[in-house]
Amino acid sequence: MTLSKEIHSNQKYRFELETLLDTSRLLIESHDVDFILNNLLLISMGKLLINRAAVLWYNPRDRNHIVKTKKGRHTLPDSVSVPKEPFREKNSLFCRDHSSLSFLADHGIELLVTIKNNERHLGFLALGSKIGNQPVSSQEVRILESLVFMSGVAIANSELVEELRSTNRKLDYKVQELFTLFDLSKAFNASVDREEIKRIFKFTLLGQLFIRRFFLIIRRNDHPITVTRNGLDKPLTEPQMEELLSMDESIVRVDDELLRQYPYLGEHQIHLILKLHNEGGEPAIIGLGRRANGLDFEQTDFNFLISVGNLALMSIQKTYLLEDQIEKERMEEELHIARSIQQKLLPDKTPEIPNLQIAAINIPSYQIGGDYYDLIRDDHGNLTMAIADVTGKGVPASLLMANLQSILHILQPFDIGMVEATGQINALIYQNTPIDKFISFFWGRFDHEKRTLRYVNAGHNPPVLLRKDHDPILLSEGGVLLGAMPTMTPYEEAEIPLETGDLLSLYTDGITEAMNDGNEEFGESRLMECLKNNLDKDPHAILEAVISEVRSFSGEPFADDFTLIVCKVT
Amino acid sequence: MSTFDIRTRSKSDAIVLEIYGELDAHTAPRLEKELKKLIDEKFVNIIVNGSSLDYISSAGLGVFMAYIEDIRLQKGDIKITNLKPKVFNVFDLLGFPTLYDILDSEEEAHSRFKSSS
Repeated sequence: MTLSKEIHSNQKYRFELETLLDTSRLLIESHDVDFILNNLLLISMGKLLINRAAVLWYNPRDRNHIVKTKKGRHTLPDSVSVPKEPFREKNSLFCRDHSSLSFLADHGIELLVTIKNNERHLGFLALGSKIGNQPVSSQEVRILESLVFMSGVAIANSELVEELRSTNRKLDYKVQELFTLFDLSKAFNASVDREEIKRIFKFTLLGQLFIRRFFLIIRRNDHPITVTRNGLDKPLTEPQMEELLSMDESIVRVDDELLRQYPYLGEHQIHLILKLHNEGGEPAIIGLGRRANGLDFEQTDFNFLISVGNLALMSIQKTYLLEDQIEKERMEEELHIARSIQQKLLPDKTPEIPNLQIAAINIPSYQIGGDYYDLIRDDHGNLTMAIADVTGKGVPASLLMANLQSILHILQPFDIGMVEATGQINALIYQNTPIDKFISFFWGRFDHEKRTLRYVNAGHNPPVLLRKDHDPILLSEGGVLLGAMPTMTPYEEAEIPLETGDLLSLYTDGITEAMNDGNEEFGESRLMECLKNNLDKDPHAILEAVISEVRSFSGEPFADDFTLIVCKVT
Repeated sequence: MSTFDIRTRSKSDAIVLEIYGELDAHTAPRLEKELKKLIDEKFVNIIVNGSSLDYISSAGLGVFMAYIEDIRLQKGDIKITNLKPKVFNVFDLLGFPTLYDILDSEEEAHSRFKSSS
């Protein structure tokens, strides 16, 4: 070898090394597959003075090679099938040397170098002929193989980096989702304002997944209601909501079949229906339109959406429960007021009447009841006593009772007979009440001078007159219940003379119908027995005796109003 | 917790909203109120300067989504600038850069508004 040849060969060698060094530097820094391949082509073409080159990229799916990056003029199709067998032994082959590769030569490709990483085949570097059709030397092939080897490693690295990047991003997204859920539960917990909860729900769907159209349906008091909706032109009807709530699947993508079945989903452009897990067991669903950024929902989105939906659902239910509670308290407060008004309609103390000792009590049950009694002393010192029981309980009964009380007090000063007065009371009550409301009513007038009781009994439990050594006398003359029918035949009245020691007891069915644990009523005979046993006592003591007897029979509290008037003639 | 605040100033043809602190589900309604007010008053060239925005949740992002259609219908836009990297990451993760101009500075936002008008 001459010196000049040696120097030339050395220079060439150095140049080749520098190329490799430059390339390796470039490749290490790059994580972009396209850049790496592009670079590989350019270096190969520049180094060897080749005017056409391409990368044939292996597609494991169809086992063909995609012509990925190409430079220079050639006629390669988009995809080619390259047999791998000839490359078992060698990394590079000249196409002309192998019949199975000669079709590439027809497209102007002379040389193939395999690109691989750790025995995984990635593709080929395909090169045309050198300018001037110079042969490619074995040293040049070696350089090419080195370049391709480095590129293979760099591609594998960049794939790894890409995978890492994408995993990281997925992780970031998950973390972000968790933050969103955390943020939501914090905000929902702090709020009992349903409108605010609905707004936050809307913003979250918009901000996280670009969902503009949606509805949330729950069942409340046995009816489906759309708690909130956005982007829908008109509300869903009740049958539509029922239909959607009764779907079996937890995750329903609206497809053509479903659209045929439920065409309104298409009108509302609802794309996805998710079932929520309602703690109360009642079904609840959200319906969602497509994402505004055009992306499809993925499996992971479903989990997120169901979580967001559940959080919103729970908070919204909480607001309803709170409202129910407030409403209940308000009603209880009103009932409490009604009860105290009702109590004020009863006499606050018993009047002083000559020749008569009186004791009276009304024990209201937990609910507002319809018991009424009255003791009114007129200017002559005579007494009007009344006792009544309105059918039913609660506010309607108490209204009717108040009505009766006022009629009685208005009529009281007028000197009309009891028969006519009772007829008028009945007419008024009949007018004022629905068909299923009645009042059992007894009233009597005690004349202290004549020592007589004149009374009318309109369907009330007959008061009992007990006289020593005499059978009990039941005061049942009168007529039908008040309010049952118009006054057609006059009520009848009766007058009975009274004697010293006579005991008159007026009561309501709260006493006789008081039940014990065995579903047995206290009954009239027990009441009669109790009154007889205490006949010698004063009215207050008798009253106490009856109360304690009923109490020990049925226990407390009384299920019904308990009213008792006891009068003793002196 | 940093205090949330929104400060508004006008600069040439745009309104700049500076958002301070954490924009989450709790504070989102305040941004909503502010945006509504601007739209009602026909100020639709809006720049959101996020240099002091420490955190944004998807409910916060949702507010931008909720009003962007109205604003663009009125030929305006919301341009978001000066985001901290952590906050930008959230915008990016959820795909906001494809729907919004997210820029480095208010000046860029101004020049975009100028070039589009």
